[in-house]
Amino acid sequence: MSRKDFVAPVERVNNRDVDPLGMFDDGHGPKFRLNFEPEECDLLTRLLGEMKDLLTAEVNEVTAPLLHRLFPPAFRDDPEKEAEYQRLMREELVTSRVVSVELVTAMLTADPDTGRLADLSESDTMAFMQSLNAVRLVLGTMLDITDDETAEQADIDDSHEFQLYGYLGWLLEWTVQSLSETT
Amino acid sequence: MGGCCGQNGDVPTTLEPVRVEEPDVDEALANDKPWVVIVWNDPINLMSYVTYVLKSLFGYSDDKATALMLDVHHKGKAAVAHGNREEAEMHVFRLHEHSLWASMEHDV
Repeated sequence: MSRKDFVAPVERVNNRDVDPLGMFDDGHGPKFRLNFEPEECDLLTRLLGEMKDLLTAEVNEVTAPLLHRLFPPAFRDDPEKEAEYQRLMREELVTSRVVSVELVTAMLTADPDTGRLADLSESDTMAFMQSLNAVRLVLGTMLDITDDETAEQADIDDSHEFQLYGYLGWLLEWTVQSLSETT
Repeated sequence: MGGCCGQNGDVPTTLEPVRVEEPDVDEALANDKPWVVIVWNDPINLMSYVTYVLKSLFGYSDDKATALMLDVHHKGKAAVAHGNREEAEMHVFRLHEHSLWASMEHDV
């Protein structure tokens, strides 16, 4: 029997393995690699496209609760301060999210030969983490995961949407773990 | 706002009314008074993710970030930072960028 070697989906490249004296350290911090199948890139790219649509299209009754979760109130008890905050900050947060989605989409759709999925900076990997988390959050909200009980149910339900939710959580755990590793 | 000098109906010593500038006291206090940034529990965000975000945004140690995350998880919410209004708003914004459910309120 052969055993396929497990390849982590996200890994921090430990330069000390190949360059123990740090002679080739460019001084720009740790590097990361995303090891995705083409189908995974396609899936994630599609989900990011849907996220971008959600962020930029006009609100309707379906998207309103999803947007509420992505743009929660800063002042829960003060409508006046909240209105002022949203007036100043709402567009900035929308832009920040769209920029992150676009950056990550570019990473995933770049020509594999250029190695864009390798040699990622920490900030690129954090952008990936943020957008991945946002996509998972929206999916979870759509699946009505509103308390810990339904969250546990999500582990058991093997419908397509819950499988996807589980996959995104698995991928996110790997991403967080890689970013959290101390050198 | 203007006002006249003299408290007890005394004969004023000057013909010029004394202009009393009364600042909006509530507003001044509100901007200087400490604000607290709250993170609320939600069943979707991963515990590891929340811990990482707290470490990353506030420079907290593993222990402190984990303790705060567990407070969020078990108590429903936790105060993760303090500051003046502007600082707190920036913290809330950055937490929202990471899709954490965050808000701010007066520290009491």
